[in-house]
Amino acid sequence: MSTDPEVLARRAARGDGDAFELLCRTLQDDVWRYCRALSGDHEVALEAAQETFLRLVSAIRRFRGDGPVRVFVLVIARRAVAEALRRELRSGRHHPLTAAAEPAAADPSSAVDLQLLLAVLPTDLRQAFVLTQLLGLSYDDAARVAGHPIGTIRSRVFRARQRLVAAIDGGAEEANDVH
Amino acid sequence: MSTEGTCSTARRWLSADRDGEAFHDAAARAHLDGCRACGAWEHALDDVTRRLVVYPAGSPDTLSPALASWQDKASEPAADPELRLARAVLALAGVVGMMLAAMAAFAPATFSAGAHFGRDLVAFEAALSGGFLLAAWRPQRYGSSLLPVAGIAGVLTLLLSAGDLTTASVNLLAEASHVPVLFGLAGLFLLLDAANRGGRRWRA
Repeated sequence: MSTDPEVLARRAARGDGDAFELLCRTLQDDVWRYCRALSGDHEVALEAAQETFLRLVSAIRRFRGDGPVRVFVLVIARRAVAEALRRELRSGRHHPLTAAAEPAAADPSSAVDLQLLLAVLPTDLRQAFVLTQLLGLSYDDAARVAGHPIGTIRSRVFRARQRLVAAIDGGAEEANDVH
Repeated sequence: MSTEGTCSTARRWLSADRDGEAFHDAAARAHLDGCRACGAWEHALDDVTRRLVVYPAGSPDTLSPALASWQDKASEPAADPELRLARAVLALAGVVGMMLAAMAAFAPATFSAGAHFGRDLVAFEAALSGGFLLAAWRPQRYGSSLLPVAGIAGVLTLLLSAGDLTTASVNLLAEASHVPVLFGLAGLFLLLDAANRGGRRWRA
């Protein structure tokens, strides 16, 4: 079976269960990274990622291939994260975890550093950065996922980089945000 | 333009360029090559990029609920003949019931057989018919909640009609209004049976 997400999505939209499962497995890491980075909370991310794929069970039938399926799914994920965060805030349970709760990486110190740094980025900058840098979306696709103009994404990616560079430099360089 | 402004513009260009999202800008490139601060910034940017490579990609299991849900939907056989029959009966009962209710509401003279079919009953008839249509559309969602009401309506209809028959006060056209209720009830029992056979549960 083809592992091209677009092919899998079209087959899943026609009711092919194997294609649906393979599509989910293909997108699982992206959705998790996005939810984790956007929410800053392991439990919220878990809930939102599960909800994303649950919604996809019905939503995939509406997929017409007008854009990449990854964008289609990440838009669902963005809404799921927003709703999960609202629920958490209402219940007063929102306690973002530290990055140390994440699984170990090949170079743990660098990875954990970056997670900690990402965690302190404002949500709007973090979202743009994660979409384009961690998930590798084009600015155009990231703009569609985030629901903002492409220029906003471009600017936010730059500002996120400024902050990360400044933070990694240990404050040697000021994070001169350019708006 | 100030030096700071030039640095900022060049770095903004570099950020987009690293993502393949910028057109060639010789002036920005020249500035980056000649500015020590921007050169250091570019190296730091590479460090950020390097750290991204080792960002953990492992995901916990987030798929089980969705895959189970897909299986449930797949085993919800749209092709199950009993389920299809149940939905068809419910849809028919709903449509006919609605039509009779509308006729009774707008042409009361046709059905003005005493209190047997008063306007309040017309409203009830319409509501019940609407319920049958909803159950035909979303069996799992609406079927169970409608069953008690439809069950009581069906039993009472039979009892009252039997009473009318014994007293010979029968208006055949009015009695026809009971048919959708009984058909709808039959459709709901068919749904229940189909759900039980498929091992599915109606949503509470």
